[in-house]
Amino acid sequence: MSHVDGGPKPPKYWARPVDLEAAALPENAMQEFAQPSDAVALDAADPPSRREFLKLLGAGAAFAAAGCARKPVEKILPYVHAPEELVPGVPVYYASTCGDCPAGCGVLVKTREGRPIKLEGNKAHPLNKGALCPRGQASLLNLYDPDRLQGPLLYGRGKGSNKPATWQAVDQKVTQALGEARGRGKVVLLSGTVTSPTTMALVKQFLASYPNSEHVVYDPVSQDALLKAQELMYGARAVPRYRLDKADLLVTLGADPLGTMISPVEYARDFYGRRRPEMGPMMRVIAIEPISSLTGTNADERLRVRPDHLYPVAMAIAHELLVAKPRGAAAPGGATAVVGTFEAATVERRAGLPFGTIARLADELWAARGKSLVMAGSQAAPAEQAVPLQVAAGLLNSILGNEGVTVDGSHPSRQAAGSEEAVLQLVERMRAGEIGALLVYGVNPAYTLPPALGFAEALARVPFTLSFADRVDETAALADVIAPDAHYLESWNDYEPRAGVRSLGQPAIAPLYDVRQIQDSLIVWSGGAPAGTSGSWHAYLRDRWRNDVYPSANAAAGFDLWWEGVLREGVQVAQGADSNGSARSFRGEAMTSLPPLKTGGDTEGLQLALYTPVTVYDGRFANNAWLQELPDPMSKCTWDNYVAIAPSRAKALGVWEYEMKADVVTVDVGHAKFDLPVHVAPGLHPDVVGIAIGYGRTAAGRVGNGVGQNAYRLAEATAGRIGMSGIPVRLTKTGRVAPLAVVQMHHTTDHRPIVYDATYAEYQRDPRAGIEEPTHLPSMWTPHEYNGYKWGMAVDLTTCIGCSACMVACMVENNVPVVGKSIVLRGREMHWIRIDRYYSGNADDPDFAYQPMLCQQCENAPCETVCPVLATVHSSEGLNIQVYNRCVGTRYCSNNCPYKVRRFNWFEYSNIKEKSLRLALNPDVTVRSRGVMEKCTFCVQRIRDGKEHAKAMGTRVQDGDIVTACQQTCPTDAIIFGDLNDPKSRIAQFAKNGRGYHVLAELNTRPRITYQTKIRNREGGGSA
Amino acid sequence: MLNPFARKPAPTRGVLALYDDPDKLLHAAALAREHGFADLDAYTPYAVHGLSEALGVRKSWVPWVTLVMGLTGACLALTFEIWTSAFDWPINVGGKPMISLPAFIPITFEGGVLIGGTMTLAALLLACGLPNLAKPILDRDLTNDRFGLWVPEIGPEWNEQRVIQLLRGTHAEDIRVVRV
Amino acid sequence: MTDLVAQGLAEPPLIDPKKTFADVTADVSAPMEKKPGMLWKVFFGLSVLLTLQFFAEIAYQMVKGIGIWGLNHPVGWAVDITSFVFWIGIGHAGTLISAILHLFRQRWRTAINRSAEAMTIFAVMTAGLFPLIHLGRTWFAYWLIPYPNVRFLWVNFRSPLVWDVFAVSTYLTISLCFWYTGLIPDFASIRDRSTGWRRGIYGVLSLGWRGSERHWQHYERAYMMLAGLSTPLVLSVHSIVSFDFATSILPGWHTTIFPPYFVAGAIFSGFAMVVTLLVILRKVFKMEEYVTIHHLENMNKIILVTGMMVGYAYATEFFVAMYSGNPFERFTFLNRAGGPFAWSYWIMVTCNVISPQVFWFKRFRRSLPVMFVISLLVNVGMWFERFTIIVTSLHRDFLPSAWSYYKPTIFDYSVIVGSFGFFFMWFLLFCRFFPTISMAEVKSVLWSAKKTAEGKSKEPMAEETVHA
Repeated sequence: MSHVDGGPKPPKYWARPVDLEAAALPENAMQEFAQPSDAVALDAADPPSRREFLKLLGAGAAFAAAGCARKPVEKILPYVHAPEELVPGVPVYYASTCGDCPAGCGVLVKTREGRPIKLEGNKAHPLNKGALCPRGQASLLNLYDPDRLQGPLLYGRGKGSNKPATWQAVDQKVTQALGEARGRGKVVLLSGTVTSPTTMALVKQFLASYPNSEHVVYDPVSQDALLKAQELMYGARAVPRYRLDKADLLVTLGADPLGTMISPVEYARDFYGRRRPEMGPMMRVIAIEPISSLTGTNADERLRVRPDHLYPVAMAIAHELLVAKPRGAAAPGGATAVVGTFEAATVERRAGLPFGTIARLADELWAARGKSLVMAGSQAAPAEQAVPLQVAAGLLNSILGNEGVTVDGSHPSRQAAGSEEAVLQLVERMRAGEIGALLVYGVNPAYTLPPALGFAEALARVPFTLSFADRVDETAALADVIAPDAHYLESWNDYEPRAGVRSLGQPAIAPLYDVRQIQDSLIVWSGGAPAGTSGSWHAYLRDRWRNDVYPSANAAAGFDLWWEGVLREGVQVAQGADSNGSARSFRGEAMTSLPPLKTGGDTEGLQLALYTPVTVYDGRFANNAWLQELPDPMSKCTWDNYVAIAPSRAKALGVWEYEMKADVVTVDVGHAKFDLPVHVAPGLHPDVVGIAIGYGRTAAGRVGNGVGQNAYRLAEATAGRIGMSGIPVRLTKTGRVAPLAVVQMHHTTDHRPIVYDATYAEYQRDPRAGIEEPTHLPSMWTPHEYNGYKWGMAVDLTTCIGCSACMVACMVENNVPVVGKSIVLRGREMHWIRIDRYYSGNADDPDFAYQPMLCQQCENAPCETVCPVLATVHSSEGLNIQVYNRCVGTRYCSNNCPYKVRRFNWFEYSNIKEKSLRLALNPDVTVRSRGVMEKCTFCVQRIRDGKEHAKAMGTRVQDGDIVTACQQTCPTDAIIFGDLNDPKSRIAQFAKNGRGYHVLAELNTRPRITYQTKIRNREGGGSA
Repeated sequence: MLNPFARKPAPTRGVLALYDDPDKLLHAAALAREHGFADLDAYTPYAVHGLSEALGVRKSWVPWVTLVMGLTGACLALTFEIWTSAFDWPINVGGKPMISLPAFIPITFEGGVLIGGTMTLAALLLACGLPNLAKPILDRDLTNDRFGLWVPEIGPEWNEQRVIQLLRGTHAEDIRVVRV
Repeated sequence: MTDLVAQGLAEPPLIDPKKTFADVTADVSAPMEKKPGMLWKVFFGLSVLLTLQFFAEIAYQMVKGIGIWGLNHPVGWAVDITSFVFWIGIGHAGTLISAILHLFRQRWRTAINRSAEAMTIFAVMTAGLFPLIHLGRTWFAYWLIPYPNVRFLWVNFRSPLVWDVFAVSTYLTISLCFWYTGLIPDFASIRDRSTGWRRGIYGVLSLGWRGSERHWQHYERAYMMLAGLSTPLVLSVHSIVSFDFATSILPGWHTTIFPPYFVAGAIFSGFAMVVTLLVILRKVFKMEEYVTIHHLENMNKIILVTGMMVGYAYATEFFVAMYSGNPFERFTFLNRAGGPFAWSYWIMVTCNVISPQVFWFKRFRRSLPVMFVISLLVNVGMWFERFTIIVTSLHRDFLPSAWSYYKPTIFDYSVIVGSFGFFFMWFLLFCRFFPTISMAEVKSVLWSAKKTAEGKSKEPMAEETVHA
């Protein structure tokens, strides 16, 4: 690692003046304290790797060790004479980039005494603007995953050794094997989308040294159809930048931009800016989709259509715009001809849409032309329609003049580049024995490719296979050599998720184990330092930035200073990277790719729709307990995937979902079948069967193995595409019942004063529309005064999209334990903040409402009155504080809490067996022992921190100084925290604004959390 | 008997007359009293009604203890509650006032009953000079089916023969002189 | 006189007048003086076994955590507090029978008050275990007691749980005083008829009581005072227990009629338990002549009355919930009668309201088998009443998102049966070593019975001699 090699210690994000002093730590300072801290290290964690870690991080590690082993203070006394640079107890933030998915959001890594304990979005980053998704929040746990490889393996496809080998041995073996491969055939690097330009350059150099070598890019969650369509329409195979912030009307065709599509956080941030009624005209969202996606459940209008009808519907809208009711739109040549066959009436009849729907959609789109946006899902339509659907969507955007406005092709995104065709061909050529060596990086084809392709057999015919996986996953198990890549928090890297937006990834911690990041490996294997570089990958990276990026930045400062500046900021945005796009010219020949409307009847029966869950994504997070226990926003189910079917369909099949268990059905697509419990999902199209991918891992690790079923097996490979939707499927009742660990079993508010909603029109007439709250609540006694700070929170149900990032953030920040499926099944999940999801309206096509529910910090807290030992009382700032040490565990408080937000430690959850996991604990938050009640504290440790900071500055806490973990990560700014006594604070304004109400106000608990009514941008009255 | 601590010189001997029937005892007791014998006492298996009147024993003072101690207990309890919740360490609990009087009533009551009750028992033992295992048992059947009249030796004019004479006519089963 | 009895206009004799005082002493002391019978040994062995497994469960729970019970997120209390309230309820009849019946000069109490008081004490002891073991950190239970500590922390006197601590401990203490006071003369009787070490032990227990009239009249007054204190105490204790629920905000708990409703329920279940115990006791220890059918019938009458009070309370609750128009209340009660826990609700109604109705008929009131079965049913019903109140209110409260179900585990059952074992163990010991009937009081009753039997013949003689 660079700073080991004597490179400069990574400077860090400028958080506080005090942090500035903590510049490079002199070598001797490290040596000086490495010795005393070793003593601690031994019982801190696995000695070899940890001692390495200590040498690297010097004194800081002593704290990390002491911190996780909870050693008495004496142990670290030597530190009293430590250099002033590193202040004990003061977090150090490193700006970096989230590397666990290609979206490449900027993060700030919060480290305490040398170990990363929390990830927060980097405000300076133009994509995620300070927010993170649940997966980004949870990716910290992957760093400490005890199932990671501790060193490289000469695995020999299972015949080799399981003991870590030395890197020398590995390098020898690899260089030799690659040498032999030269003769045998192609050397292929199979990877997921790589957004790092420098890495791509390095890969090019590396492959260049092998004749006819190749880099195949493949994403299981594929945008291939979109890329292909873009290529057809505009000649460039690149994802355009979708600008939801400029859209008045968003129409999705099976796309889930808020959930898992390409860059969810970026989209969500742009989205909310147009959804808060207080902030100008509200964007309207219409979702046309087979299953209820996160976007769909947040849409103002949902139209349920089968996967194979998405394309016809899109075309019918075009037909309406161009032919049925010509509006003189500038249409690409030949368009009118292709759309000809798609009469609205026919399509509506087939798709089962109410008559006139398409005409209405067309009118709405036309009315919003130039300010509307049509997005289509790449895997939502049947394989043969995937590309046409995307072209149709593109056609609509260009007809409506959205091209260049809401669809910006001039700043293309690099977040998706995978090609299904390429990977399918690769498998063929492997089978044909044309491949001499296969290096697999960042993907897991043995698990994600449809078994029908026979990847494993094909791989058997490749003489040499190497995997960069950090564990012996399904693919690595078939590899000769496993050269584990370092976690992104241990790595140097750069990212360019969107043209002109370049961010850096810097190690916040030295590798915990004897692993080496892929780039260093490639450098070594391509015979040491490539031309014009000085050895290490870090140097290579710097050089490339010096030569390629620095000049274009035309910075006044010298390179080193500039470089450090970029490291501090974490991101460097090229001039004009954020400018408006310009319209590209639509190529007429794209029209030829649009098939006419299928004549004759539709295929009968059920259709499969595989979708990407917001939790484990494509399966790469399967071993992440935080995400496994995170309830799916729509189904509220944890630790499992399931067969989602519409209620009417469930009745027809004679299956149902009961409390904590469900009937098991056999899912059969012909080439594959398995059993899975059903989940009755209102909002699904009755002909659709929704199943999440990413489960059923067999080699993910102790957490992820055998959780659910591998739905990739149901996917089919046809005509150079991997089909995930529209596959005909048969469900048969097995008669068995299986447990289903759901955290919410009742789904309507039962007309209780919990969630209020209204339409935009109603809101404009009266901001308090929809709220039925008692105006006068008599009280027996005069309320207490809160003169100093008065902490409060506002939660906006309109912008909250239920993504659940806050839940993970809360778990990370507050050391909330993961309890596992069996305990969740007993109704004992521990989340301090949960997202309640309520259905309203009719059961087949309901409205959705997401409601974050956490401790309301009531001023008249019922929990406090009943606690016999004063373990939960009220602070002078109005916090409902929980004194863990005093709690004897009567559980009376929880019984008396109308919001049921208190969590009890039924067993000893706090003694974490896996030492590496202890490193993820936040030292500022007590770990609760058995028999103690716990709950949300408004991140009291952050409040203290902010107050102390203000005190040091001699000021009062300024608005925004204190940010709770849930608020910090929220992509849609739905959570606002602050001081109600400060009239200028945002919270004060929110608490006052028209939409504010309190849940169960009539109980007169006087909650400190003000909810904002859910506004639906639609005609007529809202349904409560 | 109002002052339990008053110590009289204990009589060393007396006459004990045994009866098989409480009425006879009552009758004899009344008779003995008429003839001016002082400090009479009777031993019975159960509390015979009218006996204390017949013997001229004063009413018990125990109820006063109950009353006073009960009130004291209640006051103590309430004071303690108020002091701890509002003065020693006032804490805002559930937005309730520091002195939440209604909530303090139950323990006030219990405190009264607790002190009152325990002190009543204590007073009873004190009044009866119990426990006292030393004193001899005059006759084993006195706790079973015999009713005994006890005429202790008081003053010089006390005459053993006179007592026996008197009690002869009261259908006594047995009359004996007992030294204690 | 006898024909009046036949017409039920006068009390029949509470005891056969032909008995002598000596008979009473002998009969009551008999069980203490001979070896225990087979029946006793079997019952005792069984209850000791149950007690052992009870404490084994508690030990395991201390090691593992409350999680071994079936409790979950909304349902924070179930079997633990249900059993607590149940046993506290049982513990009410004893002191009530003694104190209230004593104040009202109900002389038929004399035959049953001793065993009833014993039942009270053991029931309260059993009940007391539950608040302790239901804690997440039982080893810190003493934190509920306000004692000066280094953190200067007191307790929250606003919390009904703290009221419970005081109420239950007071109740136990006062009941003990009351019980022991009653025992002193009887211990003396036993002392005077026994020899050797038994004489020693009972001598100490009797504190040297000699039956002096000067003592008797202190005793009588003190006993009266204790009775006077106990009566409101009995009512207060169960009212306070009901406050655990009544002062909360949970629909189904937050109910103003709880105090009287709980007290009635307590008396109801308490008397039922006394009947259960006495029916066995009088058989096993041949006490039929002292605990007569007449005594039992009187208790059955009380069971009938309190049963209907309880039934009325159920009805009122339901009516008020419907009438209030409060959606939460309404739902809670509809959910009780028709929700997932409807079975427990209807068990409750059948056992507590329907079954006692048979006591309208004298035949059944006086039939041992019938009253035994009914008394058992009532106890089952009263256990389920508490279960219904606690669990059905908790499992579905305000936010539907938090609703859940409650499934007991093997350990839940273990504590239920264990508590019965614990209770009976003590009670059986009591039967062996303590006088189960208050001799002194029975003797006074016996005397008046003799008087009534002999008619007015004796009195004049007594009178005139006195005035002579």
